[in-house]
Amino acid sequence: MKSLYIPAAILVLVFCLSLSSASYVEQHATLCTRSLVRADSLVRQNLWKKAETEIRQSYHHWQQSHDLFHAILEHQELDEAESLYAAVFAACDVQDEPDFHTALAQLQKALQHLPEKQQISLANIF
Amino acid sequence: MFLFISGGQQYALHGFLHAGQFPYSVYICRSFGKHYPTERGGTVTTAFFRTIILYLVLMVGLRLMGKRQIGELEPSELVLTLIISDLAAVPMQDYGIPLVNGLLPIVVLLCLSMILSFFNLKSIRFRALLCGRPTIIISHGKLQQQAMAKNRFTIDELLEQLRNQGFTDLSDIKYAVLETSGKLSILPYPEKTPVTPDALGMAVPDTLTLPILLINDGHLMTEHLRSAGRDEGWLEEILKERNLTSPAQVFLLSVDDAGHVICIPKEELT
Repeated sequence: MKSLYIPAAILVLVFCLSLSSASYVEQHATLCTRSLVRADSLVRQNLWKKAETEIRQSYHHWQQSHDLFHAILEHQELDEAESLYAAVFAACDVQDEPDFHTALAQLQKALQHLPEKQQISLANIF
Repeated sequence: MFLFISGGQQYALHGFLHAGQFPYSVYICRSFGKHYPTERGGTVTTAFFRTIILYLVLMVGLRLMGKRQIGELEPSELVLTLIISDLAAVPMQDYGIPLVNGLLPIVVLLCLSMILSFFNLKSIRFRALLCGRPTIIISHGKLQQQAMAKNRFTIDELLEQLRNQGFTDLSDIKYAVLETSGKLSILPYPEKTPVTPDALGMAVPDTLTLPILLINDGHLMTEHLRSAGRDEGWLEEILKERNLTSPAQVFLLSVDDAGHVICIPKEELT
């Protein structure tokens, strides 16, 4: 029976790890996005300094999960998110509102897309 | 801020901002007309399910293709060999794909294969389902045309297999069985089989022995020496008889149950 239990246990373990990685990505992506949403509304009130603090907070969350994200997500997607963060920071610094909103919307979409790809759904599997 | 075009993409180059606070002194931002999301590749959970589905689909596909497609391996082994080599190559070549995306499907496949092997051993029905059953192609010298058609086994392939095993006349064959591995086992009529001493009623002394390798390219195999019931003293004597002083000078040395020693010294390499 050992030859059945060991591979079955490994399969269950792999499945649990994949579920927990999906949940981890979702939690951290949500944390990052939440600050960005706040930054968006602050910029609409012309509070650029506070918005920058929120973006920095979001980027801090992003960097905290950097290593694990690189281990489980495609590097191209992470690089895209990095460059979008750069764009958001740049637009925030020069207080260019149209560019800021464009870059922020793209960044939010990119971050929301990360957990979407991790979810167990027929759309993802097939 | 100014724009430039590179590789068909439009970029916006921003001057440095808050150096030290943000890890970029120059921001290169791909902007305008971006396409999100990117839909390439899979992720951990998707990879898990996709691996299981594709493995099972490939197994069924290979079983439906019939025995002659398989060759030397069982269907499950063939599927495993086919997929694993391909899976390993992807993260090896594309550094943008996380290593786990290559490793996880391999682990899942190996586990699935081990689980299938377990049920294969335990259940004859499952074995028949997974690997199929041997099919008799020639029975009592008569071609089983239905069985051949069912396995899509042509007469040309049958004749080729017979020729490969040294038979040119179909009427010499009493039984031919297409095994689950796709190989054809041929059993000729007794009068067409090669004569053996046993068939002639001759007593043959059993002189067959298995040589044990004691020195392999200058390396002494101590465990083999012990299992052959010999020791270093015996080896020293054998080497001395051949004007050799150490195992390092020997390319190959073996001994069989009858005590027959084969010793090939190393050649001087230039």
